[in-house]
Amino acid sequence: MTFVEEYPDDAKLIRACFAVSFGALGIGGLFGLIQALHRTGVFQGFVSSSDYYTVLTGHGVLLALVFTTFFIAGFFVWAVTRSLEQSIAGRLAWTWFWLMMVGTVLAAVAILAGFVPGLGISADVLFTFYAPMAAHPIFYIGAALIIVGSWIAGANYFLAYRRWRAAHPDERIPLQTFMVLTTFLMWYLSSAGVAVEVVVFLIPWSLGLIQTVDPLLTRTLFWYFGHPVVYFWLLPAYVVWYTILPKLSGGRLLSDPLARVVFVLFLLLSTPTGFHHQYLDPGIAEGFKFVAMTNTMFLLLPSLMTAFTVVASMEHGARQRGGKGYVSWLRSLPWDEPAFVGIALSGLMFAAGGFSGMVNAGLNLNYLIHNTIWVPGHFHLTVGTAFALTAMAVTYWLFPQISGKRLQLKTAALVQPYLWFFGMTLMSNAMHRAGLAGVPRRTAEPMYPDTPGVVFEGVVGGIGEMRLQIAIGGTLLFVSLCLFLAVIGATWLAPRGGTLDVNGVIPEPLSGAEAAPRVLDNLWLWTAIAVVLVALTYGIPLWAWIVDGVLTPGSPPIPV
Amino acid sequence: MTDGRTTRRGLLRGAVAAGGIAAASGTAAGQQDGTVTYGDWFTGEAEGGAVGNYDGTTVDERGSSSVTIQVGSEGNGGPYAFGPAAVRVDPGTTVTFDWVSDTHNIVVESQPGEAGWAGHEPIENTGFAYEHTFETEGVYLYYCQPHLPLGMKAAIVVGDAELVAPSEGGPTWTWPGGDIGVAFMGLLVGTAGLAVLLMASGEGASAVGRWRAAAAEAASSPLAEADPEEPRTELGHDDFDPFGTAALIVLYFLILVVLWVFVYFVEFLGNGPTVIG
Amino acid sequence: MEVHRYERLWIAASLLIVVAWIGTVTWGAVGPPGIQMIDDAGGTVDAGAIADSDYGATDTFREPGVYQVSENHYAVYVVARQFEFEPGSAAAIEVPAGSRVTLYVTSPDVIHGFSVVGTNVNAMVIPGQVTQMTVDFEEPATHGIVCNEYCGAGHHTMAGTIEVVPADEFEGGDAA
Repeated sequence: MTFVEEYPDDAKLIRACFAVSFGALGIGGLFGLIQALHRTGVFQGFVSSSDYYTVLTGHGVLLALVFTTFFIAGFFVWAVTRSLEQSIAGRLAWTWFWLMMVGTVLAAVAILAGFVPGLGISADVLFTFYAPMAAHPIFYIGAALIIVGSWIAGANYFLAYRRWRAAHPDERIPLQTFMVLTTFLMWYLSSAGVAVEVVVFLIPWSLGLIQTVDPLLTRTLFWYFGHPVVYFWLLPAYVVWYTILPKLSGGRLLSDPLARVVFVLFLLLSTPTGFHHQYLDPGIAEGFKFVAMTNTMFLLLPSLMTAFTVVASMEHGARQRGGKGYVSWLRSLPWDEPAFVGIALSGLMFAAGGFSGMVNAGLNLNYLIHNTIWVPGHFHLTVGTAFALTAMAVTYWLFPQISGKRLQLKTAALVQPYLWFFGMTLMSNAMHRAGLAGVPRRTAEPMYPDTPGVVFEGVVGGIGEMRLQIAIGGTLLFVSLCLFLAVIGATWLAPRGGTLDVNGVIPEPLSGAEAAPRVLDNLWLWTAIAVVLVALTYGIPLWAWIVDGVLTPGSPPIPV
Repeated sequence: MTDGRTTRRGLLRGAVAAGGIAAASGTAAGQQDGTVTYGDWFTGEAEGGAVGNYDGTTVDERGSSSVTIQVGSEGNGGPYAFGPAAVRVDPGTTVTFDWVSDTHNIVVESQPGEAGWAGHEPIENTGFAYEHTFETEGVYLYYCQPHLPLGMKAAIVVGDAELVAPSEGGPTWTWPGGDIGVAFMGLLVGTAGLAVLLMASGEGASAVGRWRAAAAEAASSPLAEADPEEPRTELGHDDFDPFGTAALIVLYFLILVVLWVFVYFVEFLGNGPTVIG
Repeated sequence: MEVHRYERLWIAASLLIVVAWIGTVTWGAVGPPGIQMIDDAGGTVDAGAIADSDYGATDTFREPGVYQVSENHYAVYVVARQFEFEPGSAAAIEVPAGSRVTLYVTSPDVIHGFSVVGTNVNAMVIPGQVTQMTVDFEEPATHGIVCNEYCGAGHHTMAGTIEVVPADEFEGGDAA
């Protein structure tokens, strides 16, 4: 029986989450196109350079906060419902959905109002909203509601697990639910930082209830959250790579226990690394930065382990399909299946993104590329492909099951991930090289006229050629996005019924849950250790800043 | 410590301070026939670009004994304007410059030869006020240093000389992005236009019709999943040796090492002065 | 829990990578390159005092400019504000070649970046904090400074210049 027939209420909730998610993806993606053309100087007719920052804020918030959170919440509903074999979409579920929706609308209104002069409402603060730049209060309130809504979504999953546990006292936590719970434990621990920043400091400050905030403290609270949030995006992609990709490859997951180990490592190590976004900040002693560096380097381990396990699971599928040889087994994979192609290519791209992440993490090496356009080059490979392309591709497999409709426009669906991969290769490689030449990020114009000495010299290739690649790559990405939206739109409009091209059967792993040590399922233990690690990393610096005055050295709001 | 040698703006200020007329920029001057002009000061041709809050009119404050100009009023995308941008006063009028937002100054771009107005170059914030009595007739052009690139420029005309448009022709509009921009946008818009035409045409309509029919046909049977894929060879836990993965991962390891060495030792250590303390 | 032999080898190789990367970075810090990170040595300052140009009110900052500290050591105080570097934008920062320069940068308004294009001199400038960094400028050159942290509508215009002039052409900074 299909998912939509077995769990109709959950299917409806997931479809609602996906609708909001893909809507945000569409608008955010359009903004991305405008940026790619404006920033490179190819076409600046859409917006002024001042309004570019409104576009940039919209792109960051809609994609990195709304597209991601709604997709993850909906996808996790599927994962928990399916693996616990119970419906979880009740009143609580719709509560968190509508709370997140209200937050989204508020934040979006604050941002888009920046295009309308004379309204006095704007939020040109970008996705990181650093104080003392100040947005309109409804921006912060909207962001806070999205975060709180996501907490309630987590409660929804945990309560479902508790119900299941009461009925299955001795069983191992089903793998997908295990992954959802560990991801959310990490999310609760990490989002506390930004929640404090926004609710305790920025909202009262933007409303005028307090006069100043300490910019270094608020920035640190943001990055306490800002690093683990990327794992909040990555881990759902890992859920797909570990549990769905092997089946799409025609095989089985190599090892359930190893997957559990990886997720536990992420729970432990994701948060005590935030200072690596602040390597070049004054006011933070070098010792704390060094510890953040070592923690971050160790955080490479679960991802490197994932590389092996996931590729090996794909190899299993390829060999079951008849593949031979050291490398030629790759040809036996289903490169004509859109879901497989997107997920596999996003994994490949993540391997490259992982390297540029290593460079970012390298303490003094960070001087080379901090705040250059290398950084967006990096994260378009990671959240922009490993997350986004996986999300789009798994939707080709999942959407028919949650809607009861056959996937339409299959040729477009197959072209889409290849086009995304190609466009991203062009755009991201140019961004990396331009960053090495010193080209800054988050800026509207490609050049600085009239200032002697500001010259960008590429090591391989010229700056003009890099700009062109970014423009072309960005355009191809937008076309690919349009293809995705067309496929999903057509599928939505198609009539329900018929034999689907997909099935939801996920075979057992080669090495199953029974081989995993029981201690891995002890979520309380891992959470406690994670909290201790965070206290060790952040305790001293945060305490020092709180003790010297939580609002000093303080700055008043500066509206942008 | 102010070094006027190395920037164009510095060059101009040096010339003004020496009492000469700023000839190099080709902006305003008293013209031979007794008229005055702003030249291209308010347009995109002059440094700083077009001034958003200048609408072509010059506010006439002749007859007023005191005139106030707001420094940092709303305009040019933020609090980056002089209000009004262009004003005319009688000789001997005292103009009060009132700071209404932060981080502005007054730097004189050009003025009548004998005028000797020094502007107010220290950066000031909201609430600061500065006065100057304008005696010498002619056109004074001035700007705010930190916000010059945003278009924070203004002018004061002292006296009754007729204000005319610049004698040269207006600026020619060039496509942003040059030839590449034209080609790129042409291709983009052309392709998109073609796609829309195709979709809207009879071809498009009948394609939609055929799609609809095919979809309805396929959906006519009861909802069911596809059959699970049967592997050609079934490989159990002990049958499977991931040596293909091992090969790929060794390759990845080598790439990582080579790239790291390149980025750290060639790019980074070769990248000029570094922070050593 | 059994782990396939190849995967065990890979985990060992991964640990090797992690240790090697940490080792490289540590070598860069304690070895010949001697690279130091920006830290809290610059101290804190009242952003309001900087905004009012009240440099006498603080002992962690002074009036923007180039000062000679000793024979070959110069201190450069820079204020980064929306949207210029003072000094740097209107007038270039001038230092002699072959000197050691300690930069002190702060901001009276929002967070800025201070990035010398084409070099590894790159730092954040946070209101309330003084960013202190020491650099050796060996060769004569014209370096551009770019603000690489978004700071408002005019962010893309915020840039400046450091002129490293031959030692015999240097006119001298103010006394420390």
